[in-house]
Amino acid sequence: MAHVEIENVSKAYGPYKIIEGLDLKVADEEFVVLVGPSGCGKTTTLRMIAGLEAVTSGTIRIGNRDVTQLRPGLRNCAMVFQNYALYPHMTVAENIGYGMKVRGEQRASIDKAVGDVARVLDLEQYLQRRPKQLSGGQRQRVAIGRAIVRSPDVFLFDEPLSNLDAKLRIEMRTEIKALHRRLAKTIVYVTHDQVEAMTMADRVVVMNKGRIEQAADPITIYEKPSNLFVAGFMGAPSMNFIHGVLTARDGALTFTEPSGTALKVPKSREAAYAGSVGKPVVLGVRPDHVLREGAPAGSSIRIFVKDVEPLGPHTLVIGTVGAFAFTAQMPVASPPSRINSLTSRSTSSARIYSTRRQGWRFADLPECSTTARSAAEAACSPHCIGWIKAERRAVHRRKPAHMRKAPLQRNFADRKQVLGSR
Amino acid sequence: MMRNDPIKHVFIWPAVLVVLAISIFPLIYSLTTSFLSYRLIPPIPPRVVWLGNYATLLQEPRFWSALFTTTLIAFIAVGLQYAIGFGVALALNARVPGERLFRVALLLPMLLAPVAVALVARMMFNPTMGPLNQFLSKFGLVNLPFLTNGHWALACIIAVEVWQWTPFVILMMLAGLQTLPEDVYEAAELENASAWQQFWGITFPMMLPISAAVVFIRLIESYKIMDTVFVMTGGGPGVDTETLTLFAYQEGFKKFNLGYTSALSFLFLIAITIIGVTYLALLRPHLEKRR
Repeated sequence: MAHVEIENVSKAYGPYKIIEGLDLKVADEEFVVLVGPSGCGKTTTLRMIAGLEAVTSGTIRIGNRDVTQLRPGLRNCAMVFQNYALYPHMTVAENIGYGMKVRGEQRASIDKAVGDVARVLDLEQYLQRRPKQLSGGQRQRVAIGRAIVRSPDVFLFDEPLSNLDAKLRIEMRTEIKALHRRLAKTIVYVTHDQVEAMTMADRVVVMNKGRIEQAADPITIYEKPSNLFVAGFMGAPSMNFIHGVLTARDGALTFTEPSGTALKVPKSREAAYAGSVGKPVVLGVRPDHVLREGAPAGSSIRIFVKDVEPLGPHTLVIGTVGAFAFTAQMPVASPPSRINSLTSRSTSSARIYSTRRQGWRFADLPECSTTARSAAEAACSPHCIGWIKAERRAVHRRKPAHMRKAPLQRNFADRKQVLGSR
Repeated sequence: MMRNDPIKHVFIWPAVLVVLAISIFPLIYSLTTSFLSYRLIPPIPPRVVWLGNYATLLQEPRFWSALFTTTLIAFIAVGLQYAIGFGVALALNARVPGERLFRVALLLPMLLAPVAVALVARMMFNPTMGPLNQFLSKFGLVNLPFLTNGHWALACIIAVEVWQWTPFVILMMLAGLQTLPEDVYEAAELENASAWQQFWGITFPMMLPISAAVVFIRLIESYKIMDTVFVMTGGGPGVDTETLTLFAYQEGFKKFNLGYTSALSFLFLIAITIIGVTYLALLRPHLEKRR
């Protein structure tokens, strides 16, 4: 039984306050991922739990034990470092067994424990090698082995996969998850990679500037981000934001973007957004919620296409709506480069954010679920419909840099074509 | 450019010739000299004696005594230099206030000329006029024979060597300590390893390669000790503190017995080579582990 409680913890380096008044409770056996941009304080938080950083004020408890003033060795946490932090002069077996040796355990029991861990992590044939003779993934496994051999109360992972290549990262992700299931221990995991956060966590804690922006399970974070930061940070490609004003017109709410693009707010949402009428708001649309066709009247926007990026499973259409960058994710079956006009439609997760409220909070939390993709529902709920119009030439696959025209010129050429085709 | 372009000779041969002229030639010249009976006083024409000089030397108790003295000074001095130097480096590596001042102050002895240091030391250790004896006499230790007793003199020489050359060890070890990764210590910290365990389990093994190099350099240098002994005791009392270099100096520049001195130099070279090779052979298995 080891839950972690962080209570009103602050950390400052001289006058620089890194973390202020942080509160977080990690339940026993929970897998919590701290995610955020670099410098948001997530690693500092982890190191404070480990005891490698002193807390300026506040309390940290591990399993009901106040560990705030305890040195790292007495907290019974095991940490996996970003650079593995293996002892370079020891073999894999010595690395894994070092902690036990330090605690003065019997040679035989060390050997047995090391053997067990090696079996679990598939390291048996490397036990006599030194870290330098191992690949990145193997080193990572040794580091994990060193952590699990002492059966700690809490596992702390500090961006453990960021030095691995993409394929290995996915493999290790699965391995760590499986390990969590098998060991049934509390894990606090720090990463800047939102995919890692989404895939591994029981609960994702999104941090920014030393504060927790939102702490919830991955799907809630994705579908109901509590503020603009979380909305923009989680999800790849990230959510599109269009700034505009909400007005009541002809008995319906309309979102108007400065360059004139207007979108009707669906009836079902009007009540929720009524409080924001006449105020500047931000419209958030996830790229994967933009559809090509089937939009009702008054719910479409024009996307000015700058580039098309084929990714395999889908294709990204990158462009602008008014002055705002906009990315749309299209099915690969009909890449827009072969179509002169393209309709895009978003499903219900397009949201309206009020910019007036402090901290970019949502004006409300819409209750519609993103799974509403059927024709009937789509017809009643979507907020915005996009048009993508472009000449074939302008949106062809990316050419090598030296063959491309300067972006400004190209923009201009595209604009002329769009205007010309009207 | 092709590998067999003849232009390569233009670049290679000057270098080869320079190396031969400045490094190999003197060596060969002194080697040939060592096979001669070659005395300047009285001036007798050189006579080939082949290994005669070597045979005489090896039977000469003064040679063996010099070799023993040199080895004693070198090993004890380097051992102390390493132990003290490593300790001080560890202290300086910890971020303590005023650490910069200490760093500079502790490196100063290394920058002094050994002759000057030896001269100052001779004054300090002077049995009748030296400040050290004056100071010690207040504690009832009157007239300690610092430079007039063989054992005392040897200890004084070692002390001066340690005083002068520990800074070099500090410098090198400090440089080594600063390259050690920090996260490894954090990992050990989380394992609840004590400072002592961290030193023996992590710091010392990780510093072994640089330690080996530092000790090697200091050992070779210490074998060549000359100025300190020359100024402080001149090899005395008797030949109690006579080192190999001093012995060679006496033979070569006091007696002008050039063949004999050359042979002595070669024996010296062989002795150092044997010690060096043995040292490296002993350390090799430990160093290779760390590759």
